[in-house]
Amino acid sequence: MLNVVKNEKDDTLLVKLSGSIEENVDFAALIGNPTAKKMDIVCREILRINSVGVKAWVKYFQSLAAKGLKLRFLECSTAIVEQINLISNFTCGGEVESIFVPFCCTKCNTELLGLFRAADLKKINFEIPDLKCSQCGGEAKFDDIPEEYFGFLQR
Amino acid sequence: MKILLLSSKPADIEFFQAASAIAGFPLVKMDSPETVCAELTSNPATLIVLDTTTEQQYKDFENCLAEKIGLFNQIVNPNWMFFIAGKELHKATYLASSELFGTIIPRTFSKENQEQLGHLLKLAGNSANNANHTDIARFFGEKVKTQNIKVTKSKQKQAIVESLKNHLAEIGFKLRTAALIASAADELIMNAIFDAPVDKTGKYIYSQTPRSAELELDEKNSVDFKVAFDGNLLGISVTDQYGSLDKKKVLRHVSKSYEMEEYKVKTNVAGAGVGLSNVYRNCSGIVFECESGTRTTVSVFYKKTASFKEFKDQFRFLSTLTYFT
Repeated sequence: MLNVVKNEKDDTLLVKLSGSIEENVDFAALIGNPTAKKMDIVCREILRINSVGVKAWVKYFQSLAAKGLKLRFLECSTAIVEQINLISNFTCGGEVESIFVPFCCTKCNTELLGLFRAADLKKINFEIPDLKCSQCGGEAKFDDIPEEYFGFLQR
Repeated sequence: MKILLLSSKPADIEFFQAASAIAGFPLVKMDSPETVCAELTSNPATLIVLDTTTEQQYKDFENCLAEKIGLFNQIVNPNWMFFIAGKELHKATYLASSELFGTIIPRTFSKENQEQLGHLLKLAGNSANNANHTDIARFFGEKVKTQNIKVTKSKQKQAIVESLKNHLAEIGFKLRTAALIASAADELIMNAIFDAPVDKTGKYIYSQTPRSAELELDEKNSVDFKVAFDGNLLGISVTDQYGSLDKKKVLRHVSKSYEMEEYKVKTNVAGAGVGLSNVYRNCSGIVFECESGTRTTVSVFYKKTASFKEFKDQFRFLSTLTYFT
């Protein structure tokens, strides 16, 4: 189930999505037909997206992009980053502003997430610094394959 | 039953010697496509493992087979063909489009995969007998408990997927890994409910039915979902009662990559066409078993790993076994 919170300010519609994107999701019914010129989509709480959800996503956001709406994806969850990497046109021409990067503590094995701006990741050449584990204070290292997780930023 | 291996790579020889011992079949090393074809002619009950890292290696075998035996013959059984290839399936289109396709084994294997491959070789070797159509239970043996769920309503899928995700987290899988495995279960159950049913003419019944439709699944339309875990390897399998799997279509979907090519939304079918590709990319092995007109079982395996990176980087194989009754 997907929940949507909308907030329009100036010429930008801010849309926060949370939950799973599956066959029951109807983006047009949930978000509507925006009149704003820009749309910021916050994806931090999208936990899972299945293939029918991907189809619905691409169909909906492609239709918005075709109408000239400028799309920006913020705080993309790992589930969304995986799809951006797998499907070259998943962002439908929109900009990815920031993504969550996965970490794993080398001491207590806790999974952690760090938020990075896409521009900053490029600046540091995807060499991700270690994090301090919030659970045990240990060293948490980036937990994915760099060429795959940051692949879309290097295309 | 024996296994012919055509590869000069010491790592391949060592790996398949161990895997064939687990399968219980003797391994015979071959030195050319010609010797493989000669052996096949005299003894057709043979599993064949070929180094097909390059397209040329595959073509050499195919050409030899066409010349010595004929491409369309009663001797070569695709269920018994194992192709060793590079890491990325979508780069080995010459294998995915081959009439001989049985199983692809990317050369990312290590010692810890020998048992898995041994079971697979045994399964393929026994595939001449339709009664051996199986699911994950045979991979894990009797010591590992298999949990079974019969899906009789399409809306059950959601609860199964969520429960599986929570269960995997409880038994120590990483949360990201658990979500990916749950997504695979989601795709396979959806495929079994909506893509497997065909009418008497072979036409897909629900190809245009929205995937959000709530269907009551009677006995013929019911789907069996199974989970087994031995502490290291997890297996899930989904079985439909139609046996309508189109091998070419499956291989096309599994090997499809939209990383560079644009994904086009097709409005004439309700499915998305990207599910199987995601399932394969995030698993440790996938087996499609189709007993034509009777049932199809898709089994997927996952290694429990200490990190997600290790999970992503794991060895994976793709196997298709087809039985005609």
